[in-house]
Amino acid sequence: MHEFSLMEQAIQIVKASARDHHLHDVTDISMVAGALAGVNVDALRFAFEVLKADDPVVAHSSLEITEEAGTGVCPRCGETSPVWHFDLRCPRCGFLPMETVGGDALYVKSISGGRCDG
Amino acid sequence: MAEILVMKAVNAENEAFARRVRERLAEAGVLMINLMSGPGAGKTTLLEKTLGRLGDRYRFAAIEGDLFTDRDARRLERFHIPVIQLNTQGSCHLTAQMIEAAIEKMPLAGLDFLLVENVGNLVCPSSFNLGEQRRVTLLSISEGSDKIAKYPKAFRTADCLVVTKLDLLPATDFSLAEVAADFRVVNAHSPILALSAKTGEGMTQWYQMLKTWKAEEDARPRVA
Repeated sequence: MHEFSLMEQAIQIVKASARDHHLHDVTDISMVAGALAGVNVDALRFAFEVLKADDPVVAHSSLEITEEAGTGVCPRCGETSPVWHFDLRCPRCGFLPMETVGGDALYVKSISGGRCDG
Repeated sequence: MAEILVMKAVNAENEAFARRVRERLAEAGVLMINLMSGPGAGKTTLLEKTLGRLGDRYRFAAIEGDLFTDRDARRLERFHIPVIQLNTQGSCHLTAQMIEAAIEKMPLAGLDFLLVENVGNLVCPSSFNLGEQRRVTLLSISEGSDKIAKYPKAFRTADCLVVTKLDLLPATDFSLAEVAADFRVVNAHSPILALSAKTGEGMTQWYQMLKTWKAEEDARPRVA
Protein backbone atom coordinates (compact mmCIF):
# COMPACT_ATOMS: atom_id res chain seq x y z
CA MET A 1 0.00 0.00 0.00
CA HIS A 2 2.56 2.58 -1.05
CA GLU A 3 -0.40 4.38 -2.64
CA PHE A 4 -0.99 6.20 0.65
CA SER A 5 2.47 7.71 0.70
CA LEU A 6 2.19 8.56 -2.99
CA MET A 7 -1.16 10.25 -2.44
CA GLU A 8 0.27 12.26 0.47
CA GLN A 9 2.94 13.52 -1.93
CA ALA A 10 0.31 14.28 -4.58
CA ILE A 11 -1.74 16.32 -2.11
CA GLN A 12 1.39 18.29 -1.16
CA ILE A 13 1.92 19.07 -4.86
CA VAL A 14 -1.73 20.15 -5.21
CA LYS A 15 -1.50 22.39 -2.15
CA ALA A 16 1.76 24.01 -3.27
CA SER A 17 0.30 24.67 -6.71
CA ALA A 18 -2.94 26.08 -5.23
CA ARG A 19 -0.91 28.39 -2.99
CA ASP A 20 1.28 29.57 -5.90
CA HIS A 21 -1.79 30.38 -7.97
CA HIS A 22 -3.87 31.86 -5.14
CA LEU A 23 -6.60 29.22 -5.18
CA HIS A 24 -8.42 29.18 -1.84
CA ASP A 25 -10.06 25.85 -2.47
CA VAL A 26 -9.50 23.14 -5.04
CA THR A 27 -12.61 21.65 -6.65
CA ASP A 28 -11.04 19.28 -9.18
CA ILE A 29 -7.76 17.40 -9.36
CA SER A 30 -6.67 15.60 -12.48
CA MET A 31 -3.93 12.99 -12.26
CA VAL A 32 -2.34 10.63 -14.78
CA ALA A 33 -1.17 7.13 -13.82
CA GLY A 34 1.07 5.25 -16.24
CA ALA A 35 0.11 1.61 -16.79
CA LEU A 36 3.69 0.64 -15.89
CA ALA A 37 3.96 2.92 -12.84
CA GLY A 38 3.27 0.06 -10.46
CA VAL A 39 0.36 1.76 -8.74
CA ASN A 40 -3.16 0.58 -8.15
CA VAL A 41 -5.55 3.32 -9.24
CA ASP A 42 -8.37 2.17 -6.95
CA ALA A 43 -5.99 2.23 -3.99
CA LEU A 44 -4.96 5.77 -4.95
CA ARG A 45 -8.61 6.88 -5.05
CA PHE A 46 -9.24 5.25 -1.69
CA ALA A 47 -6.17 6.93 -0.18
CA PHE A 48 -7.36 10.29 -1.50
CA GLU A 49 -10.82 9.91 0.07
CA VAL A 50 -9.21 9.08 3.41
CA LEU A 51 -6.54 11.79 3.32
CA LYS A 52 -8.55 14.69 1.95
CA ALA A 53 -10.60 15.06 5.12
CA ASP A 54 -7.46 16.24 6.93
CA ASP A 55 -6.98 19.23 4.71
CA PRO A 56 -9.39 22.12 4.09
CA VAL A 57 -7.81 23.00 0.72
CA VAL A 58 -8.71 19.62 -0.80
CA ALA A 59 -11.53 18.53 1.51
CA HIS A 60 -14.16 19.18 -1.17
CA SER A 61 -12.11 18.22 -4.22
CA SER A 62 -12.98 15.47 -6.60
CA LEU A 63 -10.17 13.42 -8.08
CA GLU A 64 -10.00 12.11 -11.61
CA ILE A 65 -7.25 9.66 -12.53
CA THR A 66 -6.58 8.88 -16.18
CA GLU A 67 -4.58 5.79 -16.99
CA GLU A 68 -1.96 6.11 -19.69
CA ALA A 69 -0.27 3.34 -21.66
CA GLY A 70 3.42 3.14 -22.41
CA THR A 71 4.59 2.83 -26.00
CA GLY A 72 6.26 -0.34 -27.18
CA VAL A 73 8.55 -0.29 -30.18
CA CYS A 74 9.49 -3.62 -31.74
CA PRO A 75 13.15 -3.75 -32.81
CA ARG A 76 12.37 -6.53 -35.33
CA CYS A 77 9.26 -5.43 -37.23
CA GLY A 78 9.10 -1.79 -36.19
CA GLU A 79 5.53 -2.05 -34.89
CA THR A 80 4.55 0.65 -32.42
CA SER A 81 1.88 -0.38 -29.93
CA PRO A 82 0.39 0.74 -26.63
CA VAL A 83 1.67 -1.21 -23.59
CA TRP A 84 -0.95 -1.63 -20.87
CA HIS A 85 0.64 -4.51 -19.00
CA PHE A 86 4.10 -5.67 -18.06
CA ASP A 87 4.43 -7.63 -21.26
CA LEU A 88 7.12 -6.71 -23.74
CA ARG A 89 6.06 -9.17 -26.47
CA CYS A 90 5.35 -7.54 -29.84
CA PRO A 91 1.63 -8.00 -30.61
CA ARG A 92 2.35 -8.10 -34.34
CA CYS A 93 5.31 -10.45 -34.80
CA GLY A 94 5.70 -11.93 -31.31
CA PHE A 95 9.29 -10.71 -30.87
CA LEU A 96 10.47 -10.39 -27.30
CA PRO A 97 11.38 -7.91 -25.90
CA MET A 98 10.06 -4.65 -27.30
CA GLU A 99 11.67 -1.44 -26.12
CA THR A 100 9.27 0.72 -24.12
CA VAL A 101 8.91 4.47 -23.83
CA GLY A 102 6.86 6.19 -21.13
CA GLY A 103 3.91 4.77 -19.25
CA ASP A 104 5.80 4.68 -15.96
CA ALA A 105 4.92 8.12 -14.60
CA LEU A 106 2.41 9.14 -11.97
CA TYR A 107 1.76 12.87 -11.98
CA VAL A 108 -0.62 15.66 -11.09
CA LYS A 109 -1.80 17.04 -14.40
CA SER A 110 -4.00 19.96 -13.42
CA ILE A 111 -6.13 21.44 -10.67
CA SER A 112 -9.17 23.72 -10.72
CA GLY A 113 -10.56 25.94 -8.02
CA GLY A 114 -11.73 29.33 -6.91
CA ARG A 115 -9.26 32.21 -6.82
CA CYS A 116 -8.83 34.29 -3.70
CA ASP A 117 -9.43 37.48 -5.73
CA GLY A 118 -12.83 36.23 -6.92
CA MET B 1 -12.85 29.33 -11.37
CA ALA B 2 -9.40 28.78 -12.72
CA GLU B 3 -7.71 25.71 -14.14
CA ILE B 4 -4.02 25.41 -13.41
CA LEU B 5 -1.77 23.11 -15.41
CA VAL B 6 0.52 21.43 -12.87
CA MET B 7 2.29 18.56 -14.69
CA LYS B 8 4.36 17.54 -11.70
CA ALA B 9 5.43 13.98 -10.94
CA VAL B 10 4.23 12.63 -7.63
CA ASN B 11 7.65 11.14 -6.94
CA ALA B 12 9.45 14.42 -7.75
CA GLU B 13 10.52 14.89 -4.13
CA ASN B 14 11.85 11.34 -3.82
CA GLU B 15 13.64 11.75 -7.15
CA ALA B 16 15.31 14.94 -5.91
CA PHE B 17 16.62 13.11 -2.84
CA ALA B 18 17.69 10.19 -5.06
CA ARG B 19 19.68 12.55 -7.30
CA ARG B 20 21.50 13.96 -4.27
CA VAL B 21 22.29 10.45 -3.02
CA ARG B 22 23.59 9.49 -6.46
CA GLU B 23 25.83 12.57 -6.58
CA ARG B 24 27.27 11.82 -3.16
CA LEU B 25 27.98 8.23 -4.18
CA ALA B 26 29.62 9.29 -7.44
CA GLU B 27 31.85 11.83 -5.66
CA ALA B 28 32.97 9.18 -3.18
CA GLY B 29 33.34 6.40 -5.77
CA VAL B 30 30.88 4.13 -3.97
CA LEU B 31 28.70 1.57 -5.74
CA MET B 32 25.30 1.33 -4.07
CA ILE B 33 23.18 -1.75 -4.72
CA ASN B 34 19.50 -1.87 -3.80
CA LEU B 35 18.43 -5.43 -2.98
CA MET B 36 14.72 -6.17 -3.23
CA SER B 37 12.66 -9.29 -2.69
CA GLY B 38 9.71 -10.65 -0.81
CA PRO B 39 10.26 -11.45 2.89
CA GLY B 40 12.50 -14.43 3.49
CA ALA B 41 14.04 -14.76 0.03
CA GLY B 42 17.52 -14.69 1.52
CA LYS B 43 18.75 -11.11 1.14
CA THR B 44 20.57 -11.02 4.48
CA THR B 45 22.11 -14.46 3.99
CA LEU B 46 23.39 -13.45 0.55
CA LEU B 47 24.94 -10.34 2.11
CA GLU B 48 26.55 -12.38 4.89
CA LYS B 49 28.18 -14.73 2.38
CA THR B 50 29.27 -11.80 0.24
CA LEU B 51 30.90 -10.03 3.18
CA GLY B 52 32.59 -13.27 4.22
CA ARG B 53 34.02 -13.83 0.75
CA LEU B 54 34.82 -10.33 -0.52
CA GLY B 55 35.26 -8.49 2.79
CA ASP B 56 39.06 -8.68 2.63
CA ARG B 57 39.23 -7.29 -0.85
CA TYR B 58 36.62 -4.50 -0.81
CA ARG B 59 35.33 -2.10 1.80
CA PHE B 60 31.63 -2.60 2.45
CA ALA B 61 28.89 -0.84 4.35
CA ALA B 62 25.25 -1.83 4.63
CA ILE B 63 21.88 -0.23 5.23
CA GLU B 64 19.23 -2.61 6.52
CA GLY B 65 15.59 -1.70 5.94
CA ASP B 66 12.94 -3.37 8.07
CA LEU B 67 9.61 -2.39 9.53
CA PHE B 68 10.84 -3.23 13.02
CA THR B 69 13.85 -4.76 14.88
CA ASP B 70 17.60 -4.52 14.37
CA ARG B 71 18.03 -8.25 13.83
CA ASP B 72 19.47 -7.98 10.31
CA ALA B 73 21.89 -5.21 11.29
CA ARG B 74 23.16 -7.36 14.15
CA ARG B 75 23.79 -10.23 11.74
CA LEU B 76 25.97 -8.01 9.53
CA GLU B 77 27.82 -6.22 12.35
CA ARG B 78 29.69 -9.46 12.97
CA PHE B 79 31.66 -8.61 9.83
CA HIS B 80 32.93 -5.35 11.38
CA ILE B 81 31.53 -3.08 8.70
CA PRO B 82 29.46 0.11 9.13
CA VAL B 83 25.80 -0.94 9.31
CA ILE B 84 22.80 1.33 9.73
CA GLN B 85 19.42 -0.16 10.51
CA LEU B 86 16.46 1.82 9.20
CA ASN B 87 13.11 1.00 10.79
CA THR B 88 10.19 2.20 8.74
CA GLN B 89 7.71 1.58 11.59
CA GLY B 90 5.22 -0.14 9.35
CA SER B 91 5.92 1.60 6.05
CA CYS B 92 6.43 -0.92 3.29
CA HIS B 93 9.49 0.52 1.51
CA LEU B 94 12.61 2.67 1.91
CA THR B 95 12.75 6.17 0.43
CA ALA B 96 15.68 8.18 -0.92
CA GLN B 97 15.21 10.63 1.95
CA MET B 98 15.90 7.83 4.45
CA ILE B 99 19.03 6.83 2.51
CA GLU B 100 20.31 10.40 2.41
CA ALA B 101 19.93 10.68 6.18
CA ALA B 102 21.71 7.34 6.65
CA ILE B 103 24.71 8.12 4.43
CA GLU B 104 25.24 11.38 6.34
CA LYS B 105 26.33 9.14 9.21
CA MET B 106 28.58 6.95 7.10
CA PRO B 107 32.28 7.23 6.16
CA LEU B 108 31.46 7.16 2.44
CA ALA B 109 34.91 8.20 1.26
CA GLY B 110 36.54 4.94 2.33
CA LEU B 111 33.95 2.61 0.80
CA ASP B 112 33.70 0.46 -2.32
CA PHE B 113 30.20 -0.98 -1.89
CA LEU B 114 27.10 0.22 -0.07
CA LEU B 115 24.62 -2.65 0.09
CA VAL B 116 21.05 -1.60 0.81
CA GLU B 117 18.62 -4.30 1.88
CA ASN B 118 15.16 -2.96 1.18
CA VAL B 119 12.05 -3.87 3.17
CA GLY B 120 10.93 -7.39 2.26
CA ASN B 121 8.12 -6.68 -0.19
CA LEU B 122 7.79 -7.43 -3.89
CA VAL B 123 5.45 -4.54 -4.63
CA CYS B 124 6.14 -1.16 -3.08
CA PRO B 125 9.97 -0.78 -2.98
CA SER B 126 10.19 -1.00 -6.76
CA SER B 127 8.42 2.35 -7.16
CA PHE B 128 11.02 4.25 -5.10
CA ASN B 129 14.39 5.09 -6.59
CA LEU B 130 16.90 5.30 -3.72
CA GLY B 131 19.72 6.74 -5.82
CA GLU B 132 21.31 3.33 -6.31
CA GLN B 133 23.46 2.60 -9.37
CA ARG B 134 22.33 -1.03 -9.47
CA ARG B 135 19.18 -2.84 -8.45
CA VAL B 136 19.00 -6.56 -7.73
CA THR B 137 15.76 -8.50 -7.26
CA LEU B 138 15.85 -11.88 -5.52
CA LEU B 139 13.37 -14.70 -5.97
CA SER B 140 13.75 -17.83 -3.84
CA ILE B 141 12.92 -21.31 -5.07
CA SER B 142 10.45 -21.75 -2.20
CA GLU B 143 8.33 -18.80 -3.39
CA GLY B 144 7.39 -20.60 -6.59
CA SER B 145 8.15 -19.87 -10.24
CA ASP B 146 4.98 -17.87 -10.93
CA LYS B 147 6.03 -14.73 -9.02
CA ILE B 148 7.53 -12.73 -11.86
CA ALA B 149 4.24 -12.67 -13.75
CA LYS B 150 2.40 -11.78 -10.53
CA TYR B 151 4.77 -9.02 -9.34
CA PRO B 152 6.19 -7.70 -12.61
CA LYS B 153 7.35 -4.24 -11.59
CA ALA B 154 9.97 -5.45 -9.09
CA PHE B 155 11.49 -7.56 -11.85
CA ARG B 156 11.08 -5.08 -14.69
CA THR B 157 13.39 -2.57 -13.02
CA ALA B 158 16.06 -5.07 -11.87
CA ASP B 159 19.63 -4.96 -13.21
CA CYS B 160 19.94 -8.62 -12.25
CA LEU B 161 17.56 -11.37 -11.18
CA VAL B 162 19.03 -13.66 -8.53
CA VAL B 163 17.20 -16.95 -7.97
CA THR B 164 18.13 -18.04 -4.44
CA LYS B 165 17.94 -21.27 -2.40
CA LEU B 166 18.87 -23.35 -5.42
CA ASP B 167 19.55 -26.28 -3.07
CA LEU B 168 15.75 -26.57 -2.60
CA LEU B 169 15.13 -27.16 -6.31
CA PRO B 170 14.82 -30.99 -6.09
CA ALA B 171 12.21 -30.66 -3.32
CA THR B 172 9.87 -28.45 -5.38
CA ASP B 173 8.32 -28.23 -8.84
CA PHE B 174 9.94 -24.83 -9.38
CA SER B 175 10.84 -24.30 -13.04
CA LEU B 176 13.96 -22.27 -13.82
CA ALA B 177 12.93 -22.28 -17.48
CA GLU B 178 9.53 -20.74 -16.64
CA VAL B 179 11.22 -18.06 -14.54
CA ALA B 180 13.71 -17.26 -17.28
CA ALA B 181 10.92 -16.98 -19.86
CA ASP B 182 8.69 -14.86 -17.59
CA PHE B 183 11.62 -12.59 -16.73
CA ARG B 184 12.30 -11.88 -20.42
CA VAL B 185 8.67 -10.84 -20.86
CA VAL B 186 9.12 -7.96 -18.41
CA ASN B 187 12.87 -7.27 -18.54
CA ALA B 188 14.67 -6.99 -21.85
CA HIS B 189 18.35 -7.28 -21.00
CA SER B 190 19.29 -8.01 -17.38
CA PRO B 191 21.16 -11.22 -16.50
CA ILE B 192 19.75 -14.10 -14.42
CA LEU B 193 21.82 -15.86 -11.76
CA ALA B 194 20.77 -18.94 -9.82
CA LEU B 195 22.60 -19.76 -6.62
CA SER B 196 22.54 -21.28 -3.19
CA ALA B 197 24.17 -19.27 -0.43
CA LYS B 198 23.97 -22.39 1.69
CA THR B 199 25.90 -24.81 -0.55
CA GLY B 200 27.87 -22.16 -2.46
CA GLU B 201 26.56 -23.31 -5.86
CA GLY B 202 26.44 -20.41 -8.31
CA MET B 203 28.01 -17.95 -5.86
CA THR B 204 31.12 -17.44 -8.02
CA GLN B 205 29.00 -15.82 -10.73
CA TRP B 206 27.45 -13.48 -8.15
CA TYR B 207 30.85 -12.40 -6.85
CA GLN B 208 32.09 -11.95 -10.40
CA MET B 209 29.13 -9.74 -11.25
CA LEU B 210 29.76 -7.52 -8.22
CA LYS B 211 33.41 -7.13 -9.26
CA THR B 212 32.39 -6.31 -12.83
CA TRP B 213 29.84 -3.74 -11.70
CA LYS B 214 32.39 -2.14 -9.40
CA ALA B 215 34.97 -1.98 -12.20
CA GLU B 216 32.36 -0.40 -14.50
CA GLU B 217 31.52 2.17 -11.83
CA ASP B 218 35.20 2.98 -11.30
CA ALA B 219 35.68 3.45 -15.04
CA ARG B 220 32.90 6.03 -15.16
CA PRO B 221 34.23 9.59 -15.34
CA ARG B 222 34.00 11.27 -11.95
CA VAL B 223 32.06 14.47 -11.50
CA ALA B 224 34.54 17.08 -10.33
